[in-house]
Amino acid sequence: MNRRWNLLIVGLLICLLASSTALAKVKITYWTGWGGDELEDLKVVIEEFNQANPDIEVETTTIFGAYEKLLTAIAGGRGPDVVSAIWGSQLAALAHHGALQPLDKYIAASSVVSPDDFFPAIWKSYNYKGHIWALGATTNTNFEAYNKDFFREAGLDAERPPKTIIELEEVTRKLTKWDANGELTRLGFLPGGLWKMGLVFGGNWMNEDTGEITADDPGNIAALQWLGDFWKEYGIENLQNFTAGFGNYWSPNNPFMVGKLAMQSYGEWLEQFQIRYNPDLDYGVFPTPAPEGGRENVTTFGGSVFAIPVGTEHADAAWQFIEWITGPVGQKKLAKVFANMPPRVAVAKDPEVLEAVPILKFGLNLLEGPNAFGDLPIPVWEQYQAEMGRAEEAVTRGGAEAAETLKQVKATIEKEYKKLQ
Amino acid sequence: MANSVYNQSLKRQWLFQQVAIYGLLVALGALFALPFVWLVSTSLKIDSQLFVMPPIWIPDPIKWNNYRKALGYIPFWLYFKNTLTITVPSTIGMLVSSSLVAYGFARIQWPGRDVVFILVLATMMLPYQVTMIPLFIVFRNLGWIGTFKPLILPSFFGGPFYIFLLRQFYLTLPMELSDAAKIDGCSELGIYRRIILPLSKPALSTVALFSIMAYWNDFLAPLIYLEDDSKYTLALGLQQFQRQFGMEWAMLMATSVVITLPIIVLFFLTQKTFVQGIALTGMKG
Amino acid sequence: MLRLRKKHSDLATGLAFISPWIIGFLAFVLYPLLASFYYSFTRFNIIQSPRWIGIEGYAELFFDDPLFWISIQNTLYMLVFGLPLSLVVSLLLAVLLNQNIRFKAFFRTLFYLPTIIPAVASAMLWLWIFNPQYGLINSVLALVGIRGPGWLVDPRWSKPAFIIMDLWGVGGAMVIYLAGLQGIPEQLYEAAEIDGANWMQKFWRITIPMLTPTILFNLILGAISKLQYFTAPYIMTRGVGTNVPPGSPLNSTLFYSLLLFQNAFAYFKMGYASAMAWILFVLILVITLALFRSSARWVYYEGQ
Repeated sequence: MNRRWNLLIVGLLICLLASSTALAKVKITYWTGWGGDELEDLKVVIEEFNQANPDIEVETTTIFGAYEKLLTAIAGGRGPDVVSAIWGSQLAALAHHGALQPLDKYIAASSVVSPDDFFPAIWKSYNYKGHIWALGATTNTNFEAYNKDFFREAGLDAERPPKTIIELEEVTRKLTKWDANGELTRLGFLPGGLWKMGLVFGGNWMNEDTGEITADDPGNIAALQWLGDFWKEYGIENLQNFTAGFGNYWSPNNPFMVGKLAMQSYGEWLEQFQIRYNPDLDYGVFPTPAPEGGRENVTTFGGSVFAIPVGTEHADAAWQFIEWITGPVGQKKLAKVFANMPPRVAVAKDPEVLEAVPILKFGLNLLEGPNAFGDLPIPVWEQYQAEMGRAEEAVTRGGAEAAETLKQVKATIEKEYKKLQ
Repeated sequence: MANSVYNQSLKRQWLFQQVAIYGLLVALGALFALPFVWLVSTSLKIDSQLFVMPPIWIPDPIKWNNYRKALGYIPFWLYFKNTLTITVPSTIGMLVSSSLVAYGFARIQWPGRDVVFILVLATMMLPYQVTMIPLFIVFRNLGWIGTFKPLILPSFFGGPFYIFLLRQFYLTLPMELSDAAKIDGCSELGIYRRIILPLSKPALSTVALFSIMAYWNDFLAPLIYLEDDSKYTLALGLQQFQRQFGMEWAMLMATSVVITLPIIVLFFLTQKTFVQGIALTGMKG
Repeated sequence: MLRLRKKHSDLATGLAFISPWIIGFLAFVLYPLLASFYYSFTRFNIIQSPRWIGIEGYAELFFDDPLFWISIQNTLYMLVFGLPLSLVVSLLLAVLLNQNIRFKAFFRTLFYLPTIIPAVASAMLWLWIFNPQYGLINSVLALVGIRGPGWLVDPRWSKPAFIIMDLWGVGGAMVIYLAGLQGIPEQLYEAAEIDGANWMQKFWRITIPMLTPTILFNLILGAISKLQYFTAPYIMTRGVGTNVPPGSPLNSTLFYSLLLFQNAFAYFKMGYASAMAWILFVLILVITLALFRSSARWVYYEGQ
């Protein structure tokens, strides 16, 4: 009797196990910010993961850049299992406000992910308050591009781009052209982007040890003053009207592509731009020149990151997918398809990748150097950047005083930051 | 003699008036047509002519292929079908419910009516950005997220914009119409159906038009409530032309033309109902 | 006795007619409305539970947020200068298109066209029209020897630029006026003609008074849409590839809803944004009530 019962129970258990393995295929939802062609390319890559992992099926949906959709869904308990429609600049805020799950326990157990595999600065950018919240599959760096034909035309050495900020100013003057009516027809260079310029001028935006916001650091003030002086030299109204005539940056009428700018800031996409929009363009790249006492070879980096929102029931499967797509295999595929910089050192140095996207070599050096900067690990970073943008406008276009403007930025961000502590 | 001079001056005045009116119409019309002409022109351009300053109006070469490419870029017919699936029932729901509710506010006297009406209007006054999340939670509790339901079903409970519009229109219809029918023993529902609705064609077709356009072009609600891109609509499809580095402008414009065309045709055809004046002969005055 | 019964039954019929709205209100509107009101007294980051802070958010808006006041000024500018212009232009177009003219359908469609075009697409066109160097407006001004302003890139001219742009979008209000014009009985005009009235007199004595219910509608809806002005500046004033938030240049197009949206979804300050929303709500409500109160004096309803 007893035995029969045992048999029955064992039989039932076997049945249960069998059926559960048959049902074990986990469907996970993945939201990406990419659409159109790129989404199709991405889906091809993801299909390879699905083939290689018969127990998991990743269903990919694009939500474009719609942050409000992501936040609403997570708040409503209907978030995805994996999301990459978020930027590195939003990571600290998402982590701070409890939208994401930390990845530490998975990373500790993983044989694929180890901090040493990534560029140190990039790995640090995944960290907020001692936990890793996301991993990137792609990133991008930035630098300056120059038009070699214009250099030759102006009697400059086309193989020697400016090295210091003084040289940059001189070259810019030589490359700038005015017509008979005193209207600009070509501008040598249009500096911008206060965050990076502050770093180039030796400034720091916060003291990461004490948590102090240092918007009014002398380096940042010097950078902003320099930007303001640049606008004054060429005339606020002149620059305003001339730059309003620029085509969309992200279009074939990009001012550098059509020759309205002789030098412009770019990232890895420069190569794709040139191939698509102006194959005849003879260009070179150089790191942003620094003043004396400033930082050389500065790059900031960013890009979308893969994370697991709170509330998912399939965190383990979600991690398997993230581990794969941010792993060596996934990164290599994405780098080749999207021409982005891989955050893993080995992948970025892979000859196959460098052959497919030669421009990566340049950013690679910047990322390996000491002056690669990621987004600040503070939850008010978005607002901080917005205030920097406003300050830059106020000084360059409104003629405001740099030190005073940055003092106000500091006060605003400190107030907001304090509320969250 | 005097009569013919008078006629001549009348004729001259008429001629002058005609020239003035058509001159104005053509000049203004050209200005208003500009965006559409530009849209069509851009949709046929090669990339390098897109944002040239000053703009190129006649593309050279004319790239018809943009249309074929654009419609292949997104699952156009699927999105078209989804958009129709939402627009048609929602518009019907909106028409039926809003016209009933508006009748209750315009043609029936009841205590507290005007206060409640202000409440109806008040629901339009709060920016949607702050009600989005609690509303999402309401729909989630109903189990509607990821389906077309949050996009369709609320239309059956009336929209404040349409209720207000119809109320204003109903109020301009003489009350004697209703009184006469009441004496004949007609119920309020009967008056609504047999007298008010037939007289309200211009307003009802305006409501239908606005409602169709609103659902056709709605971006935010489908974005928030749909979860599977096989359920996406045309307005969401437009976003698919945004690339990581840049935008497929020509294709975006081509798709915009294709999405816009049905609405233009619809407007062209339905505007006739606005033309039909209402014969109230013998009712009043 | 009889009177009392009548009144009672009217209440029942009235409520029966508006019952769809009541059900919809209770099901889909009431909770979000109350919830956002509650959020406005809390610190709410969207994801985690709101934390009660009382009127701190409101106080900060009024006394410690310069952008709040800038956005109010910008928004009221649109209301005060933009709305009347839009209303007059749409009315004139409707009257013009209501004349006995040929190709009526064609012209009506033409004037309605700009409202149909997707905003993303038309934004690109407007960036050209307002271009200081090559744009349509400044090219025309140059013909008569005037050097036009910078429009969207000049803080003094960016709001007027949006007001001009809005005039292209009057098609919606025009259609509503057209529908209203159909409600004016033809015999009123006939009678006036017999009395020898000219078109000016007919316009002021018949068209305008008979159209007042429609004018009230467009006025209130116009005020709401101006105070919630969002889509066009959201698309057009955000520098792509830069970190300058919408509202440039120099915050001159930082409209209320832009700031609200930024607070809610970019800065995770949904409680603060809700306080902003309820301040706007009260402002719109006050304006609407004032218009309604005044309408008793200038709006003429045939059916009352």
